[in-house]
Amino acid sequence: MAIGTILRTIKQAVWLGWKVETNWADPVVFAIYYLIKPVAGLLIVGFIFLIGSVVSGAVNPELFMFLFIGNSFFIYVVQIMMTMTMLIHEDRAHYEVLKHIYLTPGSLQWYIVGRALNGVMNASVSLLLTLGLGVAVFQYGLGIPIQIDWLNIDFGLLSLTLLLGIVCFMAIGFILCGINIMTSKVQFMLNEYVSGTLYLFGGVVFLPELLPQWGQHISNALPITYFLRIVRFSFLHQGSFDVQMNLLYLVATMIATILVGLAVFKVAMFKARRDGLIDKKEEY
Amino acid sequence: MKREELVHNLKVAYARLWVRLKGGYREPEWLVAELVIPVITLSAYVFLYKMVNAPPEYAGFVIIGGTMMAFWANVLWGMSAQFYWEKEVGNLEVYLVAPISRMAILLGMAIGGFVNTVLRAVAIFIAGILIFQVPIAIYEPLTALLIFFLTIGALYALGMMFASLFMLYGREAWHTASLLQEPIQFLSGTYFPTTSQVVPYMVQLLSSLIPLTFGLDGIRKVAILGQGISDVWLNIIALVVFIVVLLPLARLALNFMENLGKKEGRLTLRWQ
Amino acid sequence: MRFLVSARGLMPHAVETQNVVRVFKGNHKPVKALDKVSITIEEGEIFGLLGPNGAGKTTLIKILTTLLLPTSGEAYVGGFNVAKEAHKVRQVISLVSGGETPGYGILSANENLWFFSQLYGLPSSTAKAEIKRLMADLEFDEYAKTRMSKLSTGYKQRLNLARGLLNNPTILFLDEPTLGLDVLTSKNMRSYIVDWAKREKKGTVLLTTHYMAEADEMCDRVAIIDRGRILACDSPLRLKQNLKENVIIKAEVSSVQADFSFVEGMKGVIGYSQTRSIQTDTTSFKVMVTEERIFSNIMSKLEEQNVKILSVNKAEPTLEDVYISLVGRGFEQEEGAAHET
Repeated sequence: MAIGTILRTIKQAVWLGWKVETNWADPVVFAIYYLIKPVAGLLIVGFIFLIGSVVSGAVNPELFMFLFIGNSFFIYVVQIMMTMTMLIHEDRAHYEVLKHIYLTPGSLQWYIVGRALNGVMNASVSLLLTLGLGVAVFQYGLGIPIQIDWLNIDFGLLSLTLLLGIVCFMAIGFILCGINIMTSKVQFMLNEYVSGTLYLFGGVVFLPELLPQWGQHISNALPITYFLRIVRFSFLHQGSFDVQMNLLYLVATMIATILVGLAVFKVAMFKARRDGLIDKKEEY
Repeated sequence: MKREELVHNLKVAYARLWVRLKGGYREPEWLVAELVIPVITLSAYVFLYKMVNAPPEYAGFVIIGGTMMAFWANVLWGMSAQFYWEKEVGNLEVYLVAPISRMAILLGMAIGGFVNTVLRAVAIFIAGILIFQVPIAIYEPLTALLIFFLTIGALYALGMMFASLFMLYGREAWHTASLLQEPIQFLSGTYFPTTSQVVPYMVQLLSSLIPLTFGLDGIRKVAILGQGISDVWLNIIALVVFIVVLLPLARLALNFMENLGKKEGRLTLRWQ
Repeated sequence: MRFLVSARGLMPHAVETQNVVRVFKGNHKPVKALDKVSITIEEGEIFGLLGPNGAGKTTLIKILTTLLLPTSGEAYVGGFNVAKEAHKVRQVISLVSGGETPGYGILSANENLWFFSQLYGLPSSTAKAEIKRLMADLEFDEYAKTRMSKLSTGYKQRLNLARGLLNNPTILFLDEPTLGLDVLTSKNMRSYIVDWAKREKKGTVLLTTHYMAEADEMCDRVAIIDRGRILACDSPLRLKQNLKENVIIKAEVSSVQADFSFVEGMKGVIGYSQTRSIQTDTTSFKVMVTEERIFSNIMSKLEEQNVKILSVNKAEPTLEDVYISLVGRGFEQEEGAAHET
C-alpha cells in the first residue's frame, strides 16, 4: 500500500478518534477527565505506600520513586488498551462504520493504528499532568522527596524506550482487536484482564522480586517490565543497570508481540469475513 | 400508593429481578471475569503493602475493599448505567410507556444485581483470604451483617439516584461514572483506612460524604480488627441517614429527570 | 377526562389533539416539529398519519404515548390528558415502533414476552396463555425458546408486535410498523393488525407510515402531515375522490438524466413527482394537471432534453397524488430535500 494512503488513513483515524472522544464534553471538562483519573490512581497507590510505610516505621523515598514512575507511565498501557478494545465495539455496534472502513482503500490495520495513536496522545497529556500534580501533592503536600533531577533526564533513551513500548502495547492491542472482532461484548473484561495482568506482573507499583517464582517468570516475559525499568533508569540513573541488555530484551519481546498481534488479527479478519462478523450487531 | 398498584409494582420488580438473574446465569464468562479481574488488581495492592512491610491486616483491608468494590461496580455499571443500555436498545421507551413506577424497575435491578454480586463478592473475599492468608477476626457476626446490609442499602439507593442521570445524559453520565471510579476508590478509602493520621483533613472531610467510606470502615473494624458494635455505632447511624435521605431523593430525581427529558425531547434519543 | 356526546352516549374520543405545537432546540435555531396539530380519532378507528421522513409523525406519537411533552396545545388519549394524566394514559395504550426490538438478547422470545407482560401486571398464568396464543397467531411459536438475539429481523418485529398486544391495549400506537420488513412479512403484519382492530377487539389504532399503500390498505382515515402541519384528513377514498377533476398522467422516459423540475411553476401544473432507476436508466414521472392539454406542453419541453418517451398513461388518483396535490412534490423530492438540509 502506498505510504501516502497509509499516512492519510492514520491522519483521518487520529482526527476521528479525537472527535469521538471529545464530542461529549467541552474542552475544560475533557481536560479534567484526563487529569482526574490518572491522578486519583496515583493517589491510591501513593497513600497505600505512605500509610503502609508509616505503620511499618519508615518511608523509603527510593521505593516511592519506583511506584511513582511506574504508575505514571502505566497510563500508556491503560489508554492504548482502552482505545483499542473499545474501538471495534463502538465502530461495529454503535456507529456501524466498521464495515465501511473495512471497505475503504486504506487498510483497517492502519486505521486502528491511527486510533491507537490518539490514545497515545491522550496518555502523553495525562502523563505530564500526573507527573506535575504528583510532585505537587507528594513532594510539597506530603513531604516525600521526589528524587528526579528534571534537567538531567536522559531524553534520548526515554524517547527510544517510549517508541518501543508504544509499539509493543499497540501490538498487544491488535491481539485484543482480533479477539473483539471474533466475539462480542467482551471488550470491557478483555481490557481489564490484560491491563490488570500487566499491572500485576509488569513491576508497575511493586518490585517483581516479591512475586512467587512463577510470577517472576511471567514478569520476565513481558515487554512492560523492561519498558518500565529503562524508563526509570532514564529518570533516576541508578547504579549498575545494564541498559543495553534491557533494551535488547525489550526489542525481543516487542518483535514477539508484533508477530503474535498481527497473526491473531489476520486470523480474526479471515474468520470475520468467513462468518460475517464485520457488521455483527450486539444485543443485551 | 393503592394496594393493587403496590402489588403490580412488586410484580414488575420481581420480573426485572428475574431477568437479571437469568442474564447473569447465561453469561458465565462474566462470572469468571468478575472474580479474576478484581483479584488481579487486589493482588498488586497487597504486594505493595508487602513491599513496605505493612502488617498483614492491611492486606485484609485491601481484600475487604475489593469485595465491596464488586457491589459498587454493580451499582454503577449493572444498575445506573443499565438504564443507558436500556435506552440504547429501546427498552426504556417500553418502560416509560407502561403504567409502572420507575422505582420498581430499579428495585428489581438492585435486588437481582445484589444476588448476582454476592456470589462474586464472596468468591473474591475467600480467594483473597486464602491466597494472602489474611487474618479474619469476626467476634460479632450480627454486627458485621448489619453493617454490610446497611452499606448495601446505601449504595443501591445512591445507584438509583445515578440511574436518573444515566436516563437523560447517557454518554456524559457514562463518562462521569467512569471518571469517578478512581476518585471514589481513593476518597472512600477502599484500600487504606482514611482514618489514618497520614490522610489530610480535607480528604477525610470529602470521604465522609460517601456512604461507602462508613461501610468500609465499619466492616474493616468488625471483620479484621475484631471490634464490636460499640466501636461502629457511628458508622451505623451514618449509613441509616444515607439510606433515609437517598431513597426519596432518588425518586425525586427520577421524576425530575423524566419530566426534563420529556420537555427537552431527550428521553428516547440514542447514543448522544 | 374529556367526553364527546355521540350516538353511543357520553364517550371520549380515542385520541384528540388541539393545536399541539412542539418545538425542539436546533443547532442554530429552534425547529418546529409540530405546528398546531388538531386531530380526533374515534374509538375503533384505524387512523393513519402519512408523511415523509421528518414530517413530525414520530413526534406526535411520542407526545400521545407520554414520552414527550407538547410545547403548547392539549392532547388527550382515552379521554386523559397526556401531560397531566400520563399514568392513566399508560394503562390504556401500547406502542410498537418499527425497526426497534425492545427486549433482552440473552432471553428467549417466550421469556421476553413474559417479562413485558409483568409490566402490565398480568397474572402469570393468563400471561403465559396469551403469549402462546399471540405467538401462534403471529406464526412464530416455533421460535418460542430461541434467544431473541438469534431471531431474524422479521421474527423480531413479530415479537415486538406481540409485546404491543400483550396488555390488550384500547389504543395501539404503531410507529412505522413495517419498516425494513420484506413484502410478505409486511403484508401479513398489516392484515393481522386490521384483524385485531376490526374483528377481535375493536381497538383503536394510530399508525404512522410513509408507505402510501399501507395507509391506503389499512386506514379508515388518513391525515397527511408535512413539516409538522396536517394538510388534509379524511378517508383514503374521499381524499382521492377530491382529485377527480384533475388529470394525472404517468410517463416513463429513457434516461436517468431526464429532469422534470422545469414543470415547477408552470401554469396548470398542480404538482409532480419523479423517480429515477439507475438499473434500467429510466425516469418515471407523474404529473397532476388541471387540463390534459397542459401535458402536451410538458412533452414538447421534454423533447428539448433529447430523451425518448417510453410510455404515457392516464392514472387513477392514489394517496401519493393527494400528497402531490397538497405539497406540489412527491415523497422522493421531499425526503431528498430533508436529507440535504
